[in-house]
Formats: sequence, structure tokens, C-alpha cells
Amino acid sequence: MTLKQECKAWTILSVGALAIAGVFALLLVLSRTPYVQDLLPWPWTSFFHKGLVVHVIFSFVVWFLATMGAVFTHRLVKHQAEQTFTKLGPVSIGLAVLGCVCLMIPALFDLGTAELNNYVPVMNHPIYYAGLIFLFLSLALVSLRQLRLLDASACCAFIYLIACICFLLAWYALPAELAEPSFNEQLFWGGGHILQFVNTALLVLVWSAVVKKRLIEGPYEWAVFGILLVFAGSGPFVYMFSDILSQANRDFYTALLRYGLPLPSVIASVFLIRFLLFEQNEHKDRLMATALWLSLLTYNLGGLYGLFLDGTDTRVPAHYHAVIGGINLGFMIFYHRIVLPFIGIHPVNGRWLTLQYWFYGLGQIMHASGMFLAGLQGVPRKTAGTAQGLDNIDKILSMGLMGIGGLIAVVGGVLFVVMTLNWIVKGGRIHETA
Amino acid sequence: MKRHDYAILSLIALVALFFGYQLASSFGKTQKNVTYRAIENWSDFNNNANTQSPDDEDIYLIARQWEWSPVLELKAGQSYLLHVASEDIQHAFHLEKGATGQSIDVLLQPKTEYIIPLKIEQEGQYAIGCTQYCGIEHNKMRSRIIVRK
Ligand SMILES: [Cu+2]
Repeated sequence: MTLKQECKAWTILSVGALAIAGVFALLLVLSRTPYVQDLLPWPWTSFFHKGLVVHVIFSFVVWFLATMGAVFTHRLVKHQAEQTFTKLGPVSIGLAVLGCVCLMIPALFDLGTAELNNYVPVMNHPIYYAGLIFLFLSLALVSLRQLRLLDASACCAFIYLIACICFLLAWYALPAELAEPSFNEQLFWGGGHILQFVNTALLVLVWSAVVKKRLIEGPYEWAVFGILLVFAGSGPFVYMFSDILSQANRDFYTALLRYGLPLPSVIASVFLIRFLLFEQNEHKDRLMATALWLSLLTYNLGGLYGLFLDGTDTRVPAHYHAVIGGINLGFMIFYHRIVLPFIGIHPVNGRWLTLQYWFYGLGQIMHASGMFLAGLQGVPRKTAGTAQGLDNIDKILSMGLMGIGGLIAVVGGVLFVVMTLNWIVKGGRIHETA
Repeated sequence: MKRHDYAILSLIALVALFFGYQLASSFGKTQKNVTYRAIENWSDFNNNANTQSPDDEDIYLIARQWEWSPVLELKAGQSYLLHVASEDIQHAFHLEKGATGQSIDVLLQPKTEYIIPLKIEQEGQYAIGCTQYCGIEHNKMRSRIIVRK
């Protein structure tokens, strides 16, 4: 296998993961539809949560991790054009595919119970855990290979390995007799937070790759990735200084995101804004500029919402939907403008491609903003002078904004998956030998 | 690198150091006026929760999958000691920022009693919720504290 073929395999895996997530989302809807639900081969009552677990793990974890594989392999080729053969490629791709199959089996065969814990939702079944191990191990191998580049992508790879170390430390520290929900939540709590540093690093990497010239000047790039690395690097030590079940341990990771992510995000955003505003047009085309603006806007809006979190209301999902939406937009344009041409596939520029970005971007912004506004209103306060009805209308409006925005974003996401998979299928094989 | 690059990079380093310091100094310091003790007799705690009135100084709240019980009714401006405990597995008690000016968030280990000083000046309804994942219906684990004149 050549690195180029490996890059294509990661691309198929990541976009394929979104397609699988989409199919499960459809099954979820069907499982809640009277009469249709009786036609499903599974007991639909228990399928709902299991299907939701599969939907989240594929649309979030697998999509992100496989994209990391594509980012890394693309970068490797750029750095070492002479040696394109990869022994590790088939192993890591094989492990990841095996992992994905294992992640689906418990939902399809109604095994175990579903757990919608943070970051990495779980099915309480050995096959599912095996799937997670295969998937994370696959990317750990790819990350180890990346380290020798000693560049920004190596930094990202190192942070990923730190996340894996946190998972292992948590696994080691957790008492076996702990109730399943608490066990799964604590197992993925620390490492899951570190994975958000990986996601931020990935976003900066794809922004830089898409603009094709140096987006962030040397010392500033080191500042961005160095800060991410140092903050993420504190993650494993917390397991030594605090009990895994303690409030100190739990709250540290929340604080880690609050203090560790804003500065690198702001620096990278400033450089992207500078590029979009002042760069000559030979370095950018219209679609690229649109996608980058939407990515920048959605991501930073999510960051802004993150400053106003308070507990349990819908401001929390508003924050992460917008952040993830912004990262996803970056990934999408990375595939369309960099990866697909790299693996010999040329996306057709046209109205639908442009619309896809607008739908997904504006849809996510509306969806997240609706949730944020609904969260701000919280429990209706009974204060003299405020009519109850007005309060309700505000609430209905923000819930409506959230619903309509969500639908538009889904249309954008479906367009991305269908168009991109279609191009890949039509694109043919890569005839390249090492 | 130009001279202004050095200035900006130094500024970035300073901000990063400041954030790092904030992070380190927040470690283990959250909710410092909360005390806790193991519950030896759960039925006593349960009893207290079922027989309380807004005039008592000590008030009791039980967390369990996936509800808060009972719905607390308090008096505005009165100082309380809120005793919260989980009957089954880990939960976390969260009271929204609007109630006391600072959000309260306390991780609850099973069968342990957490004592939180509480004084809400403004009458109204304040959201409480669970902020520690505790099972498939965790998101439904919300309630409110009703504060009257
Ligand atoms: Cu709970």
C-alpha cells in the first residue's frame, strides 16, 4: 500500500462513517414511527438508544479520527515524497475497519445496554469495547508514525497519544464494581477532554492545508501547538494528584478546556481572518473562502457560547454543536480542495457544492443559536410585570430556530456525504506502486 | 521576525502563563464551603426529606436515577443549610447561577451527605439539574427550587 492509497482509505472510512451515522439516524426516526417500527427486525424500544450510540460514535468519533488519519498521511507524503510505501497502512486501516464493524454489531443484534455518556458513548458489551480498542489503537499507531516529522502534525499526534494514556490511566484507576454509567463516564472523561485539544489542533492543521501557503508564521504556529500540547500534557498527571472519582479530578478537565483552548483558537483565527481579508486571490477561490469564513464563524460562535455555560440547560449542546460544526466545515473543505485532488479525484464545482456549505454552516449557526437562546431563558421566572405568554413566545421562537436550523444543517450534511462518496466511487483506483 | 513579533509573542506567552496559573490554582478549590460526611442511616435522611418545612434551617434533597425529590420550597432571604445526597450512584447537584450569583455544582458520591450553605434573595423558580452522567435518562434529571416571599 502506498501512502496515497492509505490516505484514500482514511477518506473512504471517514466519509463512510458519516454515511453509516446517517443510516442509523434514519433507522432512529423509523423506530419512532408508528407501524413502520413494527417492520424493523429489532425490538424498536431498545433500539432507540443503541442506534443513538452508533449514530454519535460514527458521526463524531470515527469521522474525526479517520479524518486525522487522512490529515496525517497527506502531510507525510508532503514531507517525504521519496518514500511512499507504507507497511503500517494496511495494519492501521484494517484495525480501524475491524473496530467500526465491532462498534455496529451490538446495536444490530440487540446486545448489551446503551450508555450515552460524554465524548465516547458506549454499549455495555465486550464486542463494542473491543471495537473501541481496535479503533483507538489503529490511530495510536498512525500517531506514533507521525511523531518523527517533528512538526505541527506531530504535535497533534502527541496530544492524541496523551488522550490514549488518559484512557488507560482511567481504566487502571477505576474500581471494577462501579455502576456502569459512572464507569463509562469516568473512563472517557479525562481522555475525552484531551481529544478536544486534538480536534482543535486538527482544525488548525486543515485550515493551514487548505490555504496552501503558510497560514501561520513559524513562531506563531509553535505558539499555537505548543500551548495546546502543554495544557493537554497536564492531563495524565491529574490522575496521580487526585482520585479519579473526586470532584477535583472532574472539575480540572472542565477548567482545562476553559483555560487551554481559547488562546490557540484566537491566534489561529486571527491568522485565518488576515488570510481571508488581505490575501491575493491567486491563493484562494470563492468556494474555499466561503467555506473558511463559515468554518471560522461557526467555530468562534461556539467558543463564544462556551463562555456562558451554566450547568444543565441547552447552552451546553449549543456550545459544542457550533464548535463541532465549525470543525466539520474545515474538514469538508479540506476533503474537497486538498484530499480529493490529492487522490486523483476532482470535485465538480457547482451550485450544489456551494449550497452544501451554506446549508451546513448557516444551519448549524441557527441550530446552535436557537438552543443557546432557549437555554438562556431557562425555567420561566414568575416576576411581576412580565406576561407569561411573551415568555412562551420567545421560547417557541428559539425552539423553532433550533429545529429549522437543524433540518437545514442535516440537508447540508447529507449533500456532503452523497456528493463526496459519489465522486470517490466514480474516481477509480489509484494506480501507484511503491 | 520583526520587533513587533517579539512583542506579540511575549504577550501570548504571558497570557498563556496567566491561564496556566489560573488552571493550576483552581485545582481542588471548587465549592470550598461545602462539607460532607458519610450517611450511616439512610432512612433518617429519607425521613428528614419527607417531613421538612420552609421554616426549618436544615433542608434535604435526594438525588436518584433520574429525579430530584422533593421539590424544594424556600423563603426568599432566609439562610439555609441544604443537605443533598444520592440514593443510588454518582450524580452532581447543580443550581443555576441566577439563584445566588454563582453557580453551585457539587459531585455527589453515593450515600454521602453534602451540606451546602444556601441563601436566595430573589423570589422565583431556579433550575437545578444533574451534571454528572448517571444513565440513559440523565438528561431528564432536572427540577427546580421554588422561592417565595
Ligand atoms: Cu444524575
